[in-house]
Amino acid sequence: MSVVSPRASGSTAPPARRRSIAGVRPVHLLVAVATMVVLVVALVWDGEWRVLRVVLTVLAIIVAPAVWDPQRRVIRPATGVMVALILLALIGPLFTRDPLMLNVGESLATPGSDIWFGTDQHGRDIFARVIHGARLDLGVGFSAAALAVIVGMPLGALAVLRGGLFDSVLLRISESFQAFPTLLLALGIVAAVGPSIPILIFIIAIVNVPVYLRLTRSAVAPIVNADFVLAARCAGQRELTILLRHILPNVRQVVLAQFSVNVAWAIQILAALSFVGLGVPVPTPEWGAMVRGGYEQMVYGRWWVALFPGLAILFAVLTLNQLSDRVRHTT
Amino acid sequence: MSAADVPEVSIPDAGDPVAPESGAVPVLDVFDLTVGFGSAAKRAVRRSIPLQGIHLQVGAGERMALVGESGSGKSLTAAAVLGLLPDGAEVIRGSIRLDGEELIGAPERRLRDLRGGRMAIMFQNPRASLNPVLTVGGQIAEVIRVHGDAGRRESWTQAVDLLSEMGIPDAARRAKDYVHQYSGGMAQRAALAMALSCRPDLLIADEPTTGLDATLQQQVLELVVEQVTSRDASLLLITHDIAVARSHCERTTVMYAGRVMESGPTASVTGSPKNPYTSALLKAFGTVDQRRMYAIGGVVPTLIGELGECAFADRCPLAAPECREGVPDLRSVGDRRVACVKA
Amino acid sequence: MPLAIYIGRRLVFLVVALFGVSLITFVVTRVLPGNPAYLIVGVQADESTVEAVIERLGLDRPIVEQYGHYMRQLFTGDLGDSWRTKNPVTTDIGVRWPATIELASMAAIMAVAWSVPFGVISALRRRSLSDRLANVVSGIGVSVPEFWLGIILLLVFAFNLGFAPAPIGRTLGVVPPDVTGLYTLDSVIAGDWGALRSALAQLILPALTLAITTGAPLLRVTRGFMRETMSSHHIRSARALGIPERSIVLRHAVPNVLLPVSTMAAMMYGYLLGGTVLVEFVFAWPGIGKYAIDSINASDYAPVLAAVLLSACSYIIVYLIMDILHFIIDPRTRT
Repeated sequence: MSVVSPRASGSTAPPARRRSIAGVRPVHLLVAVATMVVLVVALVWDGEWRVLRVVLTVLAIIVAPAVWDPQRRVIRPATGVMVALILLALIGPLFTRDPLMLNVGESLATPGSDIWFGTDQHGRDIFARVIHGARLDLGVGFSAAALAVIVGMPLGALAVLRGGLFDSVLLRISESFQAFPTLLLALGIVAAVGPSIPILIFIIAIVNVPVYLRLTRSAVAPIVNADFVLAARCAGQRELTILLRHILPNVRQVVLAQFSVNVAWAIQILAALSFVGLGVPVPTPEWGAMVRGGYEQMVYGRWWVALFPGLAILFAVLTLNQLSDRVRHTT
Repeated sequence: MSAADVPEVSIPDAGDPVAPESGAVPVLDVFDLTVGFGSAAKRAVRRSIPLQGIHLQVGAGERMALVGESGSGKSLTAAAVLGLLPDGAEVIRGSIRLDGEELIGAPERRLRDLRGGRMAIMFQNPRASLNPVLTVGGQIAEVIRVHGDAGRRESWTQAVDLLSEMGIPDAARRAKDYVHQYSGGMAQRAALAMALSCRPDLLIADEPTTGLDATLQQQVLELVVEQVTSRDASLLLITHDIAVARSHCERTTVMYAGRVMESGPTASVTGSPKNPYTSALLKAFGTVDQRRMYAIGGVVPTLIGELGECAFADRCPLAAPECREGVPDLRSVGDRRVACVKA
Repeated sequence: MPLAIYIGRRLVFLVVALFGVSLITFVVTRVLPGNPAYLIVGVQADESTVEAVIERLGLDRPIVEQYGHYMRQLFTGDLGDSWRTKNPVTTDIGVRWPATIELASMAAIMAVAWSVPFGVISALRRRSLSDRLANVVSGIGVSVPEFWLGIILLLVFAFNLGFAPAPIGRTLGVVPPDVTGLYTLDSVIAGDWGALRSALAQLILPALTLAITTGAPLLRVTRGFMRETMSSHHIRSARALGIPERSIVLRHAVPNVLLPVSTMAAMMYGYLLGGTVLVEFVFAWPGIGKYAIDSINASDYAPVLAAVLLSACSYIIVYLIMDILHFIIDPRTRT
């Protein structure tokens, strides 16, 4: 890079960044190949939760290119760990023991070189259960957060565009919703409806919709009357086009950051529901349910049963929160 | 002046007759001040140099205007004088003296005593520069207490007196108010009272009237000049408006892209500019009679690395090959100093 | 704006919010699939009981009428009966509510005590040791599942080190004379230091668990506001006039930060009043949360709804009180 040239030409343009031909960098090809592999593996492998698998696969494809920071030419650590987690959830279960296999002879084995995380009171391999749990927890977390975005974001944007009574009624309802402690509300609904995976996803999404509604609303409100929107309107573009092309892309950053936090919340709510016995059905490997199983063992000093699934929740949620911080701070 | 202590850079006219009240020590003497942004570990060419070789002298009781476009380094110069450069910026070389006392490298304690004590500043946007949760009078009184041995009651009385001197009606009551209860003009008066509370030798006014409406601007400026004069203090008035410089300051320094372009008595600098940049600036402000609005072509150079040429060369109508051969020295020309090979 | 008008306006908001809350709980029971009568009397109930409940709640009548009926019940303080405890829900809640308040208050005090000073200090210098430490602590505190944290604390402090008693409720048998229902406060009033020690010992771990998880976001917020304030114009101005750093931080910056932070703290407290569920469950703390979970597990629905309603209302009321206090304290709202 020459120091003199941009100055000598008197141009405002920042010095040109080194680019490979046609803007395609080797890393893009690498990411493309990697996502293809993941996709194929995920589709060939036949697990129980088809929907969750598809959600995770789609997510891996969306997130993967963001691992690379083209400006600083480094791997973004938070995104990298997130992708690794998703891949672990997708492919990991293929390589572990059966998480449901009972083995009474080996119940409550301490962690060791062959049984990494030990076994629980029914002799099930905790490592296998934690890995399988990743698929369920991340899958439910992402699905619930995605559902909440899909419902909440357009509602929030619509509230601003319509304004008036529609806006204030929606706002009051979402405010009232936020007065409820999320977990207790979810508990109340689950207790009424009964737990199952789709219902859990639905309920966790419902209690999170108001968050997106308000977020989008506050992000869109200052933009709606921005000059470029007025310009688009004057140019005769339809409202829907304006919303999709001009307004929503501008709130992407905030919503993306919130999305990441929301997946983390969803995982925490799912784990909490399962912990109190209102989440997934009993033998299913789920982190919160596993912590519950380990709670009773704690008194006898068998710490590993609850420790590892709890660490898994902590790790997943921490990663998602870090990711959200990164997204928020890179504009 | 004291150029002799800093041998590596010399300006040809060290003992120059233009210097105010030659022989007397100037209140503020900035010599070859160069400030860099970013760590020195970065390659020298990547480091940005927002101030390069600034020379500036303000004599006792003198009013000096520091004029330039935004981004020319006026406010950064003020920050350097106060020893409050933003994070990441540091003085690479040069000297800043206040009443002959070197400030660069001075301990923070000493600087804190000098700030508000012997030199003070008022900023643009007065309402933001007063604390919203403390009373106006309380803030002024605190400055008085920090720099003197006045007690609580005494400092409060002084604060009230100052406010009424600055023309705030019913000062005893208004001193107990918060800044959100003040109008913009009143807030600026309060900021002035706070800055002058310890009778500083030098008042730096950084765009004090930006954001005020035109009639208030005039009032506030007149008040600043009047108060500074009555206290025998010196004024360094930072402004982008050369007309303000012309009507309120006897001397003017013009800055561009982190350099001093021209410096001298206001009348001659604005009346017969010797640096093409000064002429351009005057034209742009429409002070020279003309029909069409004048805009300076091109843009301010990026400040990466030290320049090896005249900063204005790219935009200068008189640019010649010799302008690019090196940084023009700040030479003495007649009654002023000019950094232009053509002058 | 005069205080009275302000309070009046906030009260109108309060009514609107409470109306919204009641609407939501109503919808949850009536619109969701399943026969609400069974939710209220339990699946094991016989035909005639179910018939009686349908009659009493008016489930055979139009939905709007049902809502009116429901609201009338709420106004008379009738939250239904718990068939598990055989008591009216209001009675049950009256017994358990102080336990939750005590836990939430202790947790809130502890959370503010560690997170606000830490937030202020860590904001002073970027990348300093305290700043990095704050990053780690708040990151983990925000992310850690509180039921798991409670279990780990129990394992370490109760079972391994023996510093704290086992999780068996609010006290080891010594119950102070009932005045406020808060054991710690009652022991102080009675001057019974043994009871106080016992009550505190039981309280410390659950409160600590909640203090860690709720203090973490408070720490972040405090640090954020403090950073913002420290780089504001008026702080720059105060520095430029030679105000010593100590006064800059304590007199000029901190009061500016405390206003928004106290709002957050109030929100946190409001949240805690309904957010102690998991910790109550882990520590067998006989509060509203445990009551709700026990009821759910026994398919006893009326107490669950009551708990949900109660915590939502208390959140709104705490928030309202904070709002009004702010109006009084903040000089910017005074004229």
